[in-house]
Amino acid sequence: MDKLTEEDKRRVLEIAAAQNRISFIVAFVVCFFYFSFIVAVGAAPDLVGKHVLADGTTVGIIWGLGLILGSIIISYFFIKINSKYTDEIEHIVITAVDRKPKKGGR
Amino acid sequence: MEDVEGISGGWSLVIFFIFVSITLFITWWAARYSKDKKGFYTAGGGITPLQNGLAIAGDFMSAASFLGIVALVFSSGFDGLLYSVGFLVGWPIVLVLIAGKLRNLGRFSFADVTSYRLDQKRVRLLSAISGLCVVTFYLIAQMVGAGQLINLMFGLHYSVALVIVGVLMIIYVAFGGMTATTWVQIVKAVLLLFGATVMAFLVLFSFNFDIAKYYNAATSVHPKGEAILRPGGLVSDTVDSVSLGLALMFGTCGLPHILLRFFTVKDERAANNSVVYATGFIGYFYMLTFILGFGAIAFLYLDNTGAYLRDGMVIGGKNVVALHLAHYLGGDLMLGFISAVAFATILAVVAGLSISGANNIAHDIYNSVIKGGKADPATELKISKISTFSIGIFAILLGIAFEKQNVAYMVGLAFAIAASVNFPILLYSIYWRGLTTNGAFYGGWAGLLTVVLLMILSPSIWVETLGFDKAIFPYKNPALFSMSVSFVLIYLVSKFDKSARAEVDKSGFDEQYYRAVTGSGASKSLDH
Repeated sequence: MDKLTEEDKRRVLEIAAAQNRISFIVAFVVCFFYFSFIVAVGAAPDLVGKHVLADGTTVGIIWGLGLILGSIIISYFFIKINSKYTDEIEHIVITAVDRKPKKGGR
Repeated sequence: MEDVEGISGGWSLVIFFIFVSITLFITWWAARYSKDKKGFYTAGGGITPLQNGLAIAGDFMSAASFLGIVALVFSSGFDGLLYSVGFLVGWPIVLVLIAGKLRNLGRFSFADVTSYRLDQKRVRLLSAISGLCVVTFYLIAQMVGAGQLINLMFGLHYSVALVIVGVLMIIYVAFGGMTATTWVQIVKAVLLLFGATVMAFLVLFSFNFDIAKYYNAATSVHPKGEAILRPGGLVSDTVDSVSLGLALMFGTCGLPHILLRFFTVKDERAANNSVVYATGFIGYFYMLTFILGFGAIAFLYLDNTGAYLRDGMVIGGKNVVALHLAHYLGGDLMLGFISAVAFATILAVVAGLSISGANNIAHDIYNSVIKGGKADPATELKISKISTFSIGIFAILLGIAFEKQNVAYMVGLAFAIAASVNFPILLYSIYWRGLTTNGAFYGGWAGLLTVVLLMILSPSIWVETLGFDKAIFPYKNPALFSMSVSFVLIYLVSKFDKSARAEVDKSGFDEQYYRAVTGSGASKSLDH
């Protein structure tokens, strides 16, 4: 860590903050849709049980299966975005490690 | 439990023996990689993300969730989906908040992370005890379920079934360590996903993949008719269901045997990728259970051979609906295969629990708390193996002791503890500079005691087990209250903590945070 300059450290913290922001937004979105589903099942069963497709599929079935599929999809896109940030952090760290210490003048 | 004639027949024994032979061969092969601490606890960190994703799925998809959710869909239709969704939605949270940073900060257990900058002895001891509570309650549910299920499937006596499960678990973990446990879980996950896929394909194929025909067939024969497509009675109290939802979602983030799996891959990126694979496999599996449940309704109610239902009741109990469906779809061979897979499922889950418990005892309690982190690695490894033997024997005894008890609440209790103790401490320790040892210690203990107390006072134990008329705590799921207690207390105690230790705890945050975001690979480079 000593090899990181103050500028490197500031940049790493900025990237980490952006990573955390995305993490908490995704967590909030998943919680919102899941707990809305649970509350709707308890408080508005008629709405959840309403048929929306001709084959008999209800709002609740679409919502539930949508949550499962949505969780898989959001996880996939999260790591795609997250790994770009991880690449940037790795780049800063590796550059700092490879940076040759300046020796006295030639 | 009385001896019954097993429903699964000879094929299941043949397939089960093949499975056991393969897994014992794997254990023999894996033994060479389990001769040191790193190999034993984490398979040397050499598991690939795909392998780890499969192993996580194998660790998480229990026989209870396979047979139980199919049975729940069979009896209540839509309500079964609530459990499927609940068990899955925790995984994106594990991914975005926990997995990568846990991998960067820990080496052998999640307590490495909770105690990273805090007082090792107090916080690690709390995490280890909480981890052992989760493992014990989970193990009781698995063992009792295993004894009953194997008795039904193969006709083996309940205690004999427990001994077989316990002995195989000891062999896998004590001799093969994490490498054997991982591969047992991978083999089981592949078999379970394959079996469930074939069954779901056959169900949908029978209806020419016409969803309308499929729903119609189920609703026209089920006693509840069209109501099975709508919410039933499972979620009648919103507070209780939100509380259950919290336990399932955030409990997944704090299950020690699942968190342990993130140390088996090489870095943060691999840990994250393995969660995405696991989420895909687990989500796919839970969607299949919904298809199978409706398929079971359509086929088993219509069958008039008397092989599956008698007077409208499922022969062998509702938990074997999936096995009856397998028999209906593919005869004795399919029944044998699915029964053997269910048995394999139990073994994979208990092996994961066992290695996690051994890790808590040897690494957290013996090495870090008793020996101050300076234990001789060979002695620690020996203690891990002794712990594995002890946990195996303890599991058999617990299974026998709880044979006649209703243990349905045990998995919920395990999830509630994980959500109320492990998850809050992990989250605060990773993301909040202000967390102190006192905050984690008192808040964590308060959360643990609240869960256990509320559970005892709830209808599940106070009325159904102890026989009182009315429960003192009206809800079956305590997580909403116990999580609030631990989150608030950890925050308040930390905030008002003026001790010298609190300053040390807070000042360690920057170094920990850099390591959490830059990773172990980076930290190694930086150490040069």
